Amino acid sequence: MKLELLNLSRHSWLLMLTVLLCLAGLANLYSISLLAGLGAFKKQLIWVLAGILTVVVINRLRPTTLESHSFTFYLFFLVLLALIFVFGKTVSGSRSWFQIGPVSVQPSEFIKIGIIMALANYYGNEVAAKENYNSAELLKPIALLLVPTAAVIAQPDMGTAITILLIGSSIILLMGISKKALFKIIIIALISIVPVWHLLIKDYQKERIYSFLDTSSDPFGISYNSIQSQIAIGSGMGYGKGFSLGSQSNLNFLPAYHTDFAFSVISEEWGFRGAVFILLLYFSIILFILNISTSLEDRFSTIACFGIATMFFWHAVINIAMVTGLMPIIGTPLFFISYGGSSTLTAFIGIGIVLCLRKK
Amino acid sequence: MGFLKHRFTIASSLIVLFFLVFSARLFYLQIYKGEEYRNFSERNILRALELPAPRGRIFDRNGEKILYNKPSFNIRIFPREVTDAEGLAEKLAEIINIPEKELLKKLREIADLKSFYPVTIAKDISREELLLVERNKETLEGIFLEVGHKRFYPHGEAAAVLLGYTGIANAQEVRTYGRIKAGNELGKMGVEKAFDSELRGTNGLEYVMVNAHGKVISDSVAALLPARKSRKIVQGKDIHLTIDAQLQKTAYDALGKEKGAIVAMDVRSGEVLAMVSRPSYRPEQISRKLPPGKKIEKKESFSLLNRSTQGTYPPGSVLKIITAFALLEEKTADPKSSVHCPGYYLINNKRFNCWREEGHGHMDLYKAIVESCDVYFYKLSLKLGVDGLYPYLKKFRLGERTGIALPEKRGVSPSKTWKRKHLKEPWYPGETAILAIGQGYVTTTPLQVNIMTSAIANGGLIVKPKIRKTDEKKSPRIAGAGKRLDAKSVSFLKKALYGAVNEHRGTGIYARSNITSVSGKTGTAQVVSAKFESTKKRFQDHAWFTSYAPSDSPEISVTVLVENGGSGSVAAAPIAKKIIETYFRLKKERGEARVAKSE
Repeated sequence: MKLELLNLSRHSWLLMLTVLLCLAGLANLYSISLLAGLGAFKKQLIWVLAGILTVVVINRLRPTTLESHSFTFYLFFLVLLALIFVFGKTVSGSRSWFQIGPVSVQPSEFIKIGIIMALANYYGNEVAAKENYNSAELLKPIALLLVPTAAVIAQPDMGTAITILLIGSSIILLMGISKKALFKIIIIALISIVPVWHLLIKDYQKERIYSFLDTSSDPFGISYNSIQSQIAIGSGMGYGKGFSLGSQSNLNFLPAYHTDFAFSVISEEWGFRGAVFILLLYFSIILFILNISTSLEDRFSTIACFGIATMFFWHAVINIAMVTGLMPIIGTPLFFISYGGSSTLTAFIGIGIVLCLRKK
Repeated sequence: MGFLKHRFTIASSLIVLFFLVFSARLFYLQIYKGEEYRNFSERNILRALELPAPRGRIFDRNGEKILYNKPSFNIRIFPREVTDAEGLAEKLAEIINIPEKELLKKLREIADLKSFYPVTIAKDISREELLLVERNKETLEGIFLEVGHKRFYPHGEAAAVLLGYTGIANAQEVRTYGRIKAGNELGKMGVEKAFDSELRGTNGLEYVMVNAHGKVISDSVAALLPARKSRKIVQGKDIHLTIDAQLQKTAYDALGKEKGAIVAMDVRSGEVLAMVSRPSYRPEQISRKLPPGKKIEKKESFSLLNRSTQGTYPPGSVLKIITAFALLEEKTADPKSSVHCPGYYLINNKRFNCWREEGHGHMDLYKAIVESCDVYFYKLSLKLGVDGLYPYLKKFRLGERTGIALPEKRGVSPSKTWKRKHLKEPWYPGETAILAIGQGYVTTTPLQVNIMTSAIANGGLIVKPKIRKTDEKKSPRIAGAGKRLDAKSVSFLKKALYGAVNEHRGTGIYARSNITSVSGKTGTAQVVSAKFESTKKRFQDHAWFTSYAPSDSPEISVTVLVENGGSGSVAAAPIAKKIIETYFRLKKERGEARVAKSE
């Protein structure tokens, strides 16, 4: 299946849309600089440039190099994730960050790439292709997924844990699960909830999870951020309030306006047309990646690219559903739009992998 | 592999489906309900009110409050609600005592800020103005009243220049300082500026829901605003100065109606005990309403300049302390070197006069300092040369920043290099002679002269002046390379400075005191060439007197400069005496009070 528009290849389109989305994200950070200062904008600019460099580097690798080292990636990021519990710094209750000089690194973002590569390696190289896999064959991929997920839950960072689970599960589902195995998985999950809760999760961690789930301590907490975000988006109306004129964001009503709620700021300042445009860009990127994925002959590359597509997909779905009030708030950034070094780099690594593997 | 292709189709459909769902959701929020949400966000404006934090108080070294806060009423405005600046300025000008033109300029500036946060347009309004604003509130769009804090200076003009003042941050300052927003108050001068970041505190933040008339209303959405989004006021930190308020007041009053500056320092620690500059200003002239314009500054009785650190003057004969030190150190002269003074000295057939026309007769170094003979220094400085003298100006740090936490000027320590660079001319021998008696290109601040004097008094340490009292022990911080000056030369100078006040023919006899022993040096610095005779005040000489006491174990140094005051002996020395005597009287009283307390 070939898809070429305006005589441009799919990967050129992919790159162009990515750059366009990054520019929109940067413009948005600039527009709120009145309030937040130019710090976030400048840092994000550096991250984007670093990201583009990363894409160039990965693109120059041989696809086979990427494939043969796929499990190494996984292990490397897993070790980083484990080291968090020794050297990590705690930010608002979660131990998710390394501080290296002026830079904060969040390994739980990068592990997403690691999981995708490890699962692609398993399904592409270790087991034969078939329609559905039985429970014995599923043991390894599920373990590959659950180990890092558990580590992220223990931080605890529920938002990231949920995205990781969704990305991994999507790949496992795509590859197929036999009916018997699916049944077993559900039964085991139901049974294991109670002992895992009592034995593996420590009291203070439970405390954090409770307080995360329980919003009754703050009667408006569940709706406050959500309502403010919806007011911001809705008040943008058709054409928006204009560049840097978003009163919701500038009056500080919008929480985390430069990270998780950056899309709300865009919607407030650019209105429906701006919001839908960003949405269009984003979902086009996902479709282009998916299209590249299906066109590849090699199984490893197909699965890896599919994994990258799901990563972008779930991030978009959770973030936009969250800020438009369709689901409760769990902190998930919108790649390229939200400010953040680790998530931006992760997204660029994803793009780089797709561009590299398409050559196979 | 058909099944995989099938699953990919499902995935693609899911992606498209989610795109449609989100687009529909955005359509619902922004188009269908957009009007409603726009109302929430704009017509009923959610306002973020900043509650000004009181600035920290300032205490003198004995714990007396010398700058603190009193409540005041300010008029503030939301910049985004200024739609008709002309109309508003006209209405306001009728009510408050600010000219319409000024108000209009200000309102236009504010409207340009496009800030969501309110800005102060008039500070500390009177009771009558307050009532009128309150009554006309409905017609004054965007305006509201705020209970603020105004700075109160119990010692008024005496400490005003030193303490400085605050003002509303201008656009430049908002850009320069990270944590300042338009409309915030910050220190602009003096101590208020030097320690602004600590004095400032953190403003509180309160979110309120208001209707079109600026009244706070309760509303379904307002009720959703949680209290946790507001921010508590954090009062600014108090600052303790090394200044002695009583001594400061005495010094200010001692200058009378004269222009000038006085610096008093604890010679052992470098703590500034008093720092006076006259003319000063009444603090109310500034704190009220708008920041000072250029117009007020031009007035004779109004000056924001701290002459102690920002005024530069030729030091006149007080510089002979350094010249004498240089002569001794460079072995150009020893205490016995003798020079005959006929009242003038010829250099290349040009006549250089001594201040005493009839001459001093035979002079040695001691007598030359005591009687301040110019000819002695003319002659020997020529032997020493400017290259021999200049390093000692540097050693005493004339023409250098002292490092005090206040704005300061450096003055000039001239040298051959300096002259070539700035005047593109070679150095002439006559200029060395003139420099040796503190005339010509050399200029200093009163603080620099005081530090020089303190260095002699404390046995050779150039201290770094302090105005903030800290916990550190009394050991003085040493400026520059920080080597102690040669003890032998210092002790010779101490003897000579004692003589200058206490010998029969000394120039500083008017500083002689019955309470304590005083040492010092006079200076009479020419403002214009000696040939130019004039009775006009502004052409008269600057009068200097720099001193310390007690002579044998010095505690305090006092430097007095009277602009166009005439002779240092007559105009400046009695002022220094008054301050020194007050210092010891206060010390005795406080000592007695402490004893009485402990008994």
